[in-house]
Amino acid sequence: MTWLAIAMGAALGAPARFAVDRYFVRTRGTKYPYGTFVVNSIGSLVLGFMTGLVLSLASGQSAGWQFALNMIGTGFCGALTTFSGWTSQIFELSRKPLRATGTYYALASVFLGFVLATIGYALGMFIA
Amino acid sequence: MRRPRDVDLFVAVAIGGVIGALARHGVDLLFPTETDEWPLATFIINLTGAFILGVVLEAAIAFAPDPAANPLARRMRPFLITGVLGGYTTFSTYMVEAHGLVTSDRAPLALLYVFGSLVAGVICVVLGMKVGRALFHRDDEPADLVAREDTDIRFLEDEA
Repeated sequence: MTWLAIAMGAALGAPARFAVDRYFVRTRGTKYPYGTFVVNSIGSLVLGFMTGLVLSLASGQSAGWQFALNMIGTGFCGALTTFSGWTSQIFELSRKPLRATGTYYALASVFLGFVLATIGYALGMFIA
Repeated sequence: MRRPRDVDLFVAVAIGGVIGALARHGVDLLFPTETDEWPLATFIINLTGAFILGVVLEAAIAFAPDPAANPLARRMRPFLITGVLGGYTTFSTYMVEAHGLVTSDRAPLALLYVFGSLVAGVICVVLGMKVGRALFHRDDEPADLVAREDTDIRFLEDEA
C-alpha cells in the first residue's frame, strides 16, 4: 500500500511541477528558475504541514493517515519538489557574469524552504 | 493545459515521476534514519540524482540536440529529467529533515546538512556533466563554458 500511495502522489506531483515550470517559462522566460523556486517552496510548506499533522494526531499511526502521509508527503511533495534540477540551476546561474545570482538563489531557496517547513509543521500541530 | 498536443509530455513526466519516487522510497528503505540523525537516505538520493542529471544533460545535448526532431527525443527530456530525476530527488524532504534536526536540538548538524547537501549537490551535477562530456565525446566544452550575458538556463529550455 505504501508503494501505491507514493505512486499515486508522484503521478500528480511531477506533472504539477512541469506545469508550473512551463507557466513561468512562458510568462517570464528562461533567465531565472521561478517555477522551481515556487514548487520547492510550496512543497516544503505542505510536507511540513503533513508531517506535523500526522505526527501530532492520536490516530496518526492508523493505516488511513499513513496512506495520506505517503501519498501527499512522500509521493506528491517529493515529486513536486526537486533537488537535482535545483542544483543544476544554481550552477547555470553561477556561470553568468553576475556570479552571485546562483548564490542568492541557493540561499533564498533554503532559507524560505526551511521557514515554510517550520510554519507548515507548526500549522499541522496546531490543527491536530 | 492550453496546448492539448502536449498531453504526451505530461504523461511522460507522470510516468517518470512515479518511477523516480518509487526508487526514492527504495533507497529510503535501505537507509532508515531517525529524526535526530544525519538524513543519509535523502543525502544519497539527492547527490546521486544530481550526478545522474549532469550526465543526462550532456547525453541529451550529444544525442538529441534538437528535441523537436522526432517524437522520442521530444519526450525523452521530460521523461528522464523532469520526471524520473525530478521525482527521485526531493527538496521538501530535505527541508523538513533540516527542521526535524533543529527541533531535536541538533541545529549544528542541520546547518551542516543544509549547506553540505547544497555544496555537494552542485559539485555532483558538475562532476556528472564532466563525466557525460567525457563519455559522449563533446569537444566544444570550452566554448560552452564561456559566460554570456544572455545565457539562459538549459534545464528550463528543455521544458519550454
